[in-house]
Amino acid sequence: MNRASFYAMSKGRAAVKRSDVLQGTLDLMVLKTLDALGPLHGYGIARRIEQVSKDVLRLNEGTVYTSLLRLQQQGWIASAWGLSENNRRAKFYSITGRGRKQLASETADWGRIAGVITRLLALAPRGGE
Amino acid sequence: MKRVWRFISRLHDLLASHRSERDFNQEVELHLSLLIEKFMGDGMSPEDAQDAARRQFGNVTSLSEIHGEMRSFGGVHAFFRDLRHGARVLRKTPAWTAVAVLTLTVGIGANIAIFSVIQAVLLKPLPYPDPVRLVVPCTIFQRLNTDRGNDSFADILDWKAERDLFESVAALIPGSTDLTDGGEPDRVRALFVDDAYFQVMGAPPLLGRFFTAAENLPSAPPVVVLGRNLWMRRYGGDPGVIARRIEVRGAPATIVGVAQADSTWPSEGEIFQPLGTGGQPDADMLRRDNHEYLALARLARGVSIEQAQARLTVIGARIAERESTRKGTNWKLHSLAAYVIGPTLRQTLIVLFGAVVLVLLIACVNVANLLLARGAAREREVSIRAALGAGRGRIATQFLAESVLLSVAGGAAGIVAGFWGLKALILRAPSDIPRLEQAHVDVRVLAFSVGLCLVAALIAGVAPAWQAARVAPLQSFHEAGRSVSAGFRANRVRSLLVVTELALALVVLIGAGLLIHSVARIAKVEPGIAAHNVLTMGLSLPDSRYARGPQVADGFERVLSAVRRVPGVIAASATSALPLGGGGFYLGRVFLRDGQPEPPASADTAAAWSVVQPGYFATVGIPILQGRPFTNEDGANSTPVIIVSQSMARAMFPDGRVLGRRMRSWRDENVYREIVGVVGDVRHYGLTEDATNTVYVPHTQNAWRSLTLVVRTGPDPATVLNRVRDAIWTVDRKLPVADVRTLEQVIDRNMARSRFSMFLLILFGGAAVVLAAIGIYGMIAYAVAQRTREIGIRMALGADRRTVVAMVARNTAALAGAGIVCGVGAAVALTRLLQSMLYEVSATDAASFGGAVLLLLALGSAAACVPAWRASRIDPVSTLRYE
Repeated sequence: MNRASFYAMSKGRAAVKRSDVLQGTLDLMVLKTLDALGPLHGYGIARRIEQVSKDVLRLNEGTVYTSLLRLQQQGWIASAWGLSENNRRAKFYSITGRGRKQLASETADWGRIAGVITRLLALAPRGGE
Repeated sequence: MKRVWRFISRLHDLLASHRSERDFNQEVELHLSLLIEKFMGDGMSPEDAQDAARRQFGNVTSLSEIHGEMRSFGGVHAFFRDLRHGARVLRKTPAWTAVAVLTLTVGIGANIAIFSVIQAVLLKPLPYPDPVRLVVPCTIFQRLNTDRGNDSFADILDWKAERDLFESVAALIPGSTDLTDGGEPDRVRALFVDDAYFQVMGAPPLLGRFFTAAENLPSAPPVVVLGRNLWMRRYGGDPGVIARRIEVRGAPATIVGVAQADSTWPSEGEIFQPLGTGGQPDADMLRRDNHEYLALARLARGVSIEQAQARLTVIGARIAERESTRKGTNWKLHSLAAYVIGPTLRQTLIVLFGAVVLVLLIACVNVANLLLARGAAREREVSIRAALGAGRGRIATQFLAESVLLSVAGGAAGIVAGFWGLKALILRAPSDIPRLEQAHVDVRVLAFSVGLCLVAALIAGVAPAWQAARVAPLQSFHEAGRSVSAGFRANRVRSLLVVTELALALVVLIGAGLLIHSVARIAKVEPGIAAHNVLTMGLSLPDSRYARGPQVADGFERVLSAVRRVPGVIAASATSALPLGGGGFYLGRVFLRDGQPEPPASADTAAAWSVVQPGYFATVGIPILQGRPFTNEDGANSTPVIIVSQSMARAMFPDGRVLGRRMRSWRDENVYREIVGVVGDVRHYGLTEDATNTVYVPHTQNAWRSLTLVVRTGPDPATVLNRVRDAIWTVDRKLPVADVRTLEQVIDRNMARSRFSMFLLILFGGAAVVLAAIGIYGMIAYAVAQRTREIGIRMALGADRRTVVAMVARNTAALAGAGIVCGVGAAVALTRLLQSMLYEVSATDAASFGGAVLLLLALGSAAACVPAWRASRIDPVSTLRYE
């Protein structure tokens, strides 16, 4: 149920229909980022993902907020107002205990699925279509 | 769990949605400005940096929309939108909306008023501690067909011994007494109770204490407990009244306590005096046939009323077997609540509630019908929306939103209407409905009305919503585009609703008709007296100043002769009890003819024993059929005489020779009295009760202290009253004059309940019929409007006006016929509930049924007239251009 919903939620009617995979993974990335770096605002998360992905992933940064709202509605992250680097009001997000548990299970799943896909893609082609 | 979380989060967002939106905008703004700063740091120009930031961030507007939707309950928001839309639609057709809302107002208002009454009278627990354990043990007299007879003291003593059944059992006698210290003498309602009484009631005193066992001894110095009302009224709520000595019936008594409000029963008791039954009861008190007392008991903890009843029935049966005087008797335990309400009142309220529920149903059906008609007219709109992709659910909810709006408006207006309706109802209601004055629109009633609104919205909205949702996206383009007759399917549903409405209205009408009949029957009952211009008032001579029989008799004679001298007074006399349930005492006694052997060798004859002053029969207009009335010659020392009622004469002397024969009340007075007259029968207990055997004895030979004066006046009794009272006080300044009424008022009270139920049912029946008429009018008018083109074509092809009218009439007749058949069927099943409220009218009385059917037919035809006329006026030429 957890797993299914994690991927399925990106397919809700609210989703931007550009790349399902990217969004499903975006939630996971956001969660991981918050887990690794502690409280961050949306801009900081976007920067961190950009930095880690080394420009491999081109991110529509607005979708980070969609992801944040989704995660918050699940209760996996919490938010609080604070001051940003340039001394402006910013909303800081942090991972909750439930979020950590979810992250652990999602990470394990991701590893498994990534393995399957890698193996699948590594199969030698048997002649073109 | 997760869903709950998401739900809470969304709920929070919904409530703070404007804040969430502001927060989100702030976040986006910050993000963009940080991005711009970053790009500018990379060396871009401000303009380029701004563009780049926007590109990298994505479309802000669409993101904002997505967030808005994610945060909301899609359904709730959409429903609010529907409500707004519905309100706009309703505002556009104010007349239509007013009719619909008014319809629901009537339905809901009537329900609120009646439910408030039911809540106060039937549902609310009695105000005493642990009231479900309070029971009233009564004697069943099979011969009198009652299970509410008084109890003998011996029986009460037996019950007091049943420790595992009853925690405590009290004996009491409700009556009245006079407070004679200072000021005007005051007749107050008294309860004579034994020392167990307050223990049974269970509430502590407000002040002082209650009676001790020693104070219940016959020889104990007199003490009283005041009820709170009397304490406030006469003593100004002074806490210093305890231990004060007051004068009761001319004798001193000490106040020992004050009882709390609502802590005693019967609640009209204003003062409490010991019954004096303590100690060793004498043989007379222990007689099993001496049914003088009312009992009140508290069940032991854990004992149900059924268990106690089962035990009592066994013991009672044994006594009935053993004692010859107790043949055909047993005991019945009434719960106090049931005893207070009585069987007929409960039935009446349930019937009235049924009637208002029917009215509400009719109102709902009416609104459903109105909505359907409107919905049919909007089929085109719906079909376009469906074609544009609106789901069935969305379309249905939109229609449901309208019915919700209507029923909320109707409900709000209904609460106001119910509030005023209830006030009017309490004002008009007969005064003997217990706790009616406590009825008000409280939280429970409000909750009930909210429930009603929801139910009403559903009933009224389901059919239209269902119909709208079934419109196929394209179908109605065809139908409405160039239709000959549109929407037959919808018409079928609507016809069904109109038939339902007519049937329901008919049921209410028939109920009203039955009651009208019944009240008319009661009004026609010969009371056996001439009640016009007769004033009555209670008078009681205290033993402190009128110690013995001769003084009492003399006192009444002096009072009466003073009253007879008052100008305007035609005749005056006095009696121990007024006929037709007017109050006072009849003694139930059994009689033997001179020479008749005592039972069981022969059967005695029961009759009510009444004591009267000379001139009584002439004053109240009871005819003397044989012999003579009592005169002043019938004194204490002359021959004991008696006058019997016609039915008594027939029962005791089948041979018809009555005058001059002798009879005795063999178990009580046991004195042979000579019969000097036979008088007409009177109904003692009420107009609807059978006349009972009665005997009359002269007051001089049986001097009771408490009598009711009857004064026949020439002018309106009200104009003479003060002079009569002054005349009484010229004889004795300290005599309280109580319960002043006219005989007509006494008779009126007999019909008060039936008349009130009738009045309400007529009201509800009227509302039902008007609503049904609106329904049938709407239906026919709409059908005619829909078929304008068809009718136009028919007329163009040669149909004349009469044919057209006949067509409409056929349509109406079909609806009315179906409604009447269903309504009569339902009424036959339902009016049985009314039977106990009817007097000499069968619950399936043909005249009432016929009258109601005719009335409904007349109104139905009247309602169909206008559309029929309009149909006949259709101009064929213009209709062919109609669309």
